[in-house]
Amino acid sequence: MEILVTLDSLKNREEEKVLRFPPDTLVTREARVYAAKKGIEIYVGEEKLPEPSFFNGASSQRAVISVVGEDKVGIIAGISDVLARCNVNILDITQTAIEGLFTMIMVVDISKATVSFEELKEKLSVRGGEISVRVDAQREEVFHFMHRI
Amino acid sequence: MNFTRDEIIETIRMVQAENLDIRTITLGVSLRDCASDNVEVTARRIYDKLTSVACELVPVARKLETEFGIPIINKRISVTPIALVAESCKESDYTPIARAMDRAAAELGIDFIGGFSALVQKGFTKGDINLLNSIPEVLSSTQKVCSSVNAASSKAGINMDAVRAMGRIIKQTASLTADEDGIGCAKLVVFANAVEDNPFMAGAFHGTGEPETVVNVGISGPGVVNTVVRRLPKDADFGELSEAIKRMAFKITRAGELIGREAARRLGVSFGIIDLSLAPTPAVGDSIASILEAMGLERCGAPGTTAALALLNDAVKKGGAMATSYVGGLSGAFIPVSEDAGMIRAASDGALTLEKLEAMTCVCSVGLDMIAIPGDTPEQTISAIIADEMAIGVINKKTTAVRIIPAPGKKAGDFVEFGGLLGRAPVIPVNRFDSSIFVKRGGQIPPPIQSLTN
Repeated sequence: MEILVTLDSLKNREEEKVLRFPPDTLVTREARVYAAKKGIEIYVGEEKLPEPSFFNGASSQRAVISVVGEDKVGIIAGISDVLARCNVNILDITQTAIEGLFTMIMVVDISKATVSFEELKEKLSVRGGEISVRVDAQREEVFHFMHRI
Repeated sequence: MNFTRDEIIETIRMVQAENLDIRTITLGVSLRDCASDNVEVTARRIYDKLTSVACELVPVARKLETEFGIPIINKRISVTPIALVAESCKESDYTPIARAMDRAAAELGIDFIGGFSALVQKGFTKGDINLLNSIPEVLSSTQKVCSSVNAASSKAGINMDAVRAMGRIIKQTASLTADEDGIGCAKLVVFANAVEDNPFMAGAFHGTGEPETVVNVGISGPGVVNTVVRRLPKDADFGELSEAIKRMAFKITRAGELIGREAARRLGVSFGIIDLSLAPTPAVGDSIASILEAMGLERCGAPGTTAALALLNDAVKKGGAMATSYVGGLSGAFIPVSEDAGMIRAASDGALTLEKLEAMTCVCSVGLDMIAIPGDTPEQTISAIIADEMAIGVINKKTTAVRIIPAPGKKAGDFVEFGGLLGRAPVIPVNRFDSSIFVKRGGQIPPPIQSLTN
């Protein structure tokens, strides 16, 4: 008779896709998050437990791309060419060139990207190297977490 | 755009120019189900469990680094204190277990594995004694295994027999690793009030009240705090100073919170705690001492250092506590001498002495950390230094620790080199007067009274 079901009780029964527990069994929130991630359905008595709602400020599908380097013709063209080929949509773009130092910041939507985030980053950094600028890409959550309460 | 350009540039600058990083993601793993009556069987079970449970740790950490653009310097594992796991083994030498841990660590590509530990604040069991006896051999024959011994607590007092034994264990460990300046001692900590969820080495272990597996995160960022303090005008008052540090601590901790939660979710384990510690590195500027100096002290160790450190430590906790819901571990500024360029300079200039460091440990975590002392320091003197530090922790109800290296063949003024994050340290002089009669008394120093608090 199980009273409490935790994340680790689920791990021990990972092969089963549907888990049934007697009515009134206690299931921890962590266990429900884990089950949702692994596609395991949990029934307590007759009732199916709903997927827990996410609290992490939702994992967004946006990234911030920053470009720093010496100002010259074709930086934006070069970077946006890579983004277009990867089906990454530019949502916002801001750039300045003060005393020859070029900085550009783009917010992009990566939800429909045709490559993984690592590959995108790699491609951007290779292209950055060709036009001698430093290109970085980070998921947007970092800025959200650090600068917004 | 949701963020201003300046905010985005600030974050990028923090990472690229000021060494903002996540110091460690530490996966705590319970080994309680690995016990058996044979040490080789236990060792094999431990190896098998670690290599299966933790196989995703390094790949997930690497992925998080790429996606979020914040470096994760160390990936570590902490395990149930081995004295508990190995207690039922017939054999008394626990070295095979440590070797298995070391092999697993190498296989997984992690940096350190902690938990070759015993909790002996009130006395020893058979397993505790066997573990203590194995420490010198283990630390000299493994690369990544870290050991810790909790010798005191505010509830139990100080186990002076353990303290006395640790003096000898530290000396033996140093002499067994003499060709590397006693580096074995850099992987050994003696604690008072050890915490169960510490992600930092060498003192990490997976406490008995912890879940099966858990992710704990240690943040970093002295370089970032250093920059904000230096930017303030020289006459900014302490309220403004504290405010600026709090704001920065909030941002640093949020980065840790994000990475920790994401790591726990992807690894499918519980999220434990964020350790709000400013952990320095040997990189220039990434230094606690530099922050204290930026507050207006000529050198770290000058009069005023303890007050400056107290302010820094408190402001970091206040800022960090709002940024994460689960604070734990050691949570305070670290002052490891060899790992902090500013501390190294202060110690070699003679500004920072062992006594001043001891005073500083009253107001921050975690204790006398990574301090090289002359190789001919008697073991009783080392025990007495440990006893002093334990007393500070026990009376003030805080965690304190000693990680001290009696560098073989070195005398005060020489340098020892450990390399990497462990850095290099000047050998600092130790008070020459004798404490051996005191230390040899043995027994237990009773716990302090919990009322009459003045």
